[in-house]
Amino acid sequence: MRKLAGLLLVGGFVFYLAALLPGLFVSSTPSGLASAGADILASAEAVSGSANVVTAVVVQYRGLDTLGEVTVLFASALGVAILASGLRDNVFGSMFAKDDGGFVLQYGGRFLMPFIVLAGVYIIVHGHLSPGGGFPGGVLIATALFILILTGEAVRMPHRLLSVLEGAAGLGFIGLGALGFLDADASFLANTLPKGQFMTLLSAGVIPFIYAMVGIKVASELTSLVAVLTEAPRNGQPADPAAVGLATAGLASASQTAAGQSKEAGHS
Amino acid sequence: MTSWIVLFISVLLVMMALAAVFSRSLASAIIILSTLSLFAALLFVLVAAPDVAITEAAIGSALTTVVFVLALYRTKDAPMADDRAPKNASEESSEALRRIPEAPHA
Amino acid sequence: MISIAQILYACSFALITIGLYAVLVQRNLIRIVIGLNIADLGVNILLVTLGYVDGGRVPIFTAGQGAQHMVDPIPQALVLTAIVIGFGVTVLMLTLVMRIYVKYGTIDASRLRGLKW
Repeated sequence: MRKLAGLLLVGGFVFYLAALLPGLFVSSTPSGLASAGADILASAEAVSGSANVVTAVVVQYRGLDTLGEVTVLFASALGVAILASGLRDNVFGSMFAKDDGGFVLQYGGRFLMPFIVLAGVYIIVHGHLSPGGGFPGGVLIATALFILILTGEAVRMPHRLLSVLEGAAGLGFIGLGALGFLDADASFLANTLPKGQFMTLLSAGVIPFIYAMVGIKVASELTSLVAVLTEAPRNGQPADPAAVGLATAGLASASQTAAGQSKEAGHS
Repeated sequence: MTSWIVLFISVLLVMMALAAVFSRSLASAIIILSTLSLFAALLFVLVAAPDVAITEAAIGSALTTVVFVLALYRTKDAPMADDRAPKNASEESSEALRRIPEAPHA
Repeated sequence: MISIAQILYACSFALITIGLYAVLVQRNLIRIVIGLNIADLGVNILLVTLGYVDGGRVPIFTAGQGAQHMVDPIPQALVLTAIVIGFGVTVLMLTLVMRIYVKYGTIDASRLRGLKW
């Protein structure tokens, strides 16, 4: 019955998509692009000075939207930190620390990690010249830190530092955006700094700096997102209130009572 | 030429998605999901979107897999959601990840 | 001759449909999250394909070449952020699943009253 209803719903969705399909081909004219993309491609060099047009779109044309997206990411990190304070056992106490992956894995991870961080920083810094930028680079740095945990190293994540970095990067984003008010036609996130020589490292005005802020914010947020899950408290008690970063005393006690009722199965 | 490679990878993606949804073991479903992301990153390179490809490769194949494995590890003692599973499936407590009670798809 | 865009439309629609089917039919909450992830990937491929033109170049200016035959940068910028947000949402969902298991001792959606038929 459930499967039949699911198949019916999916069939309706497929019918809807099939009805949608011819409309998708109308917008792509033979000459290439719909108008907005073509306009941006034509004006990107003069308006933003960034060789990578995707970066120009993310930071300048849609800058306010990117601020919103980073806020959404922060909200999800907040939710994970609050929810994870009520989890039961310490995964890395039982899963990885018991056998530490061996000599080769441990030293391989330790050797590899700075290079991955270096690649991430390179990707962030060159975001306006080559593929990459704050989002991919930040993700790569988070991956590097996580490789170190996976190899069984006894890493204590500096949660205080991570939250400070995150907040500072968010403030930096807004501060660099407020530089736009210095412009003649004062608007938030306007590109007021000198644009420099096109296709060189010091070009595109404020774009590389804002994207670096996005990179720091994404890296610290993703790192704390995964680290909060891995360093989860033992027996329902937060191992360290600072480890959760955002958990207040009230939340911690609430999670203890929630974990106390942990085995109440909700059978109907 | 590119069109044939795209066709091949697209068929591969759909097959892997089916395998991830219908595979009997949850652990292999997670690994198939990460492979799916990796091939999707290859597809993004072919349609001239390298920025998207870097992000997809790093997130889809590294971080998502790790978080799924963590979730699987934490819920490993749960009676799996299945009509045909034995009533007291929770008593088959498993120590390691590989001994998760394999749930046939519902 | 089938164009690349048509292949990718078919592929992304298939992925969205498979993910939706998994969300509707599966009862294991982790499998539901896997289905949502597959649908997410399908949507991302669809968005990138919307900006693709046949034989298009990467939207990055290189020395001596103008903006001719570049693909649309807007969908790529959208997808770039959507992937990162999607990861955050996935982690949030999985944390909720872990919390549900701690609280109710099951990850079967049909045993949680009122969650699923």
